[in-house]
Amino acid sequence: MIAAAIHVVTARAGDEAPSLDPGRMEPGRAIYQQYCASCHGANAEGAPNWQVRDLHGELPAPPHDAEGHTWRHSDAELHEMVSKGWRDPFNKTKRLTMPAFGDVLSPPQIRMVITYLKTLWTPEQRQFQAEESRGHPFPPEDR
Amino acid sequence: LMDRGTQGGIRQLIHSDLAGSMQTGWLFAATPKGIRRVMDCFCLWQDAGELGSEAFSVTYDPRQPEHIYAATEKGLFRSTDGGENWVQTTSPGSKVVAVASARSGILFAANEDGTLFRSADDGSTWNQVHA
Repeated sequence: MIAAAIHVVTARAGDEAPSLDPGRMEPGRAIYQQYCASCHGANAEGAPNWQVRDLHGELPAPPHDAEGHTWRHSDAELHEMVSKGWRDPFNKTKRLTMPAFGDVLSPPQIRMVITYLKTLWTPEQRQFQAEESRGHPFPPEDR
Repeated sequence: LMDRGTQGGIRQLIHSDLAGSMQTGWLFAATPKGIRRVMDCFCLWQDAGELGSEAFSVTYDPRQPEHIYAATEKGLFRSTDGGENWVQTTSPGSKVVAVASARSGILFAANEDGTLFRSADDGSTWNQVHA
């Protein structure tokens, strides 16, 4: 798994995608497997039928890989969603659609897991996300 | 990087300040299959409720972004919950093909022969505009 992740990053580096900090990738993968994989899938493939609301009006956990939409958000937005969670306004329950992990993960850990997710995107997606993050970077406490 | 968008074409696309977006707001599209909705990060296009009718035009009340109006083949509809549920309202004249909302909440509608109408009560009653 580690080798696969490193291979992907190396291959994409040739396409001039933004480079990723290797020191954050592997810890991020471990955090992902511990806290995120149960909903978003071991390979970040998302829950089955993630695009269809369930009987409670809730959206199942989306993929974080290239098939999902995580790459559309800046570092600052992704940090906030992991830290504070997010509630789909059309959810018919009071629950958060995405639980908050700000009391579980430290800011540097949140950055690590987001860095791991970036290894799952295409070079174009990583480039887009880097541009989105230019004015909306990780908060200072993540560094 | 392209968004697959909504299938079947878009007649009108508007941006709304409706709360709850992962980004800055929402886009609502009038399509041949009804009204569709997506956060402005283009994360996931979805049907806005079950209008089940071809939609020509969509607008929202800037004072209450959860109030949406749709001009459809079956008439004029109003939603008070961001497009989850729709209730048919009074349609002025013949088929309404365009609807717009002012910042004040005043609604404007045009039917297929170009006649204009104005409503000051959320589309409950309409007066023809003699422009």
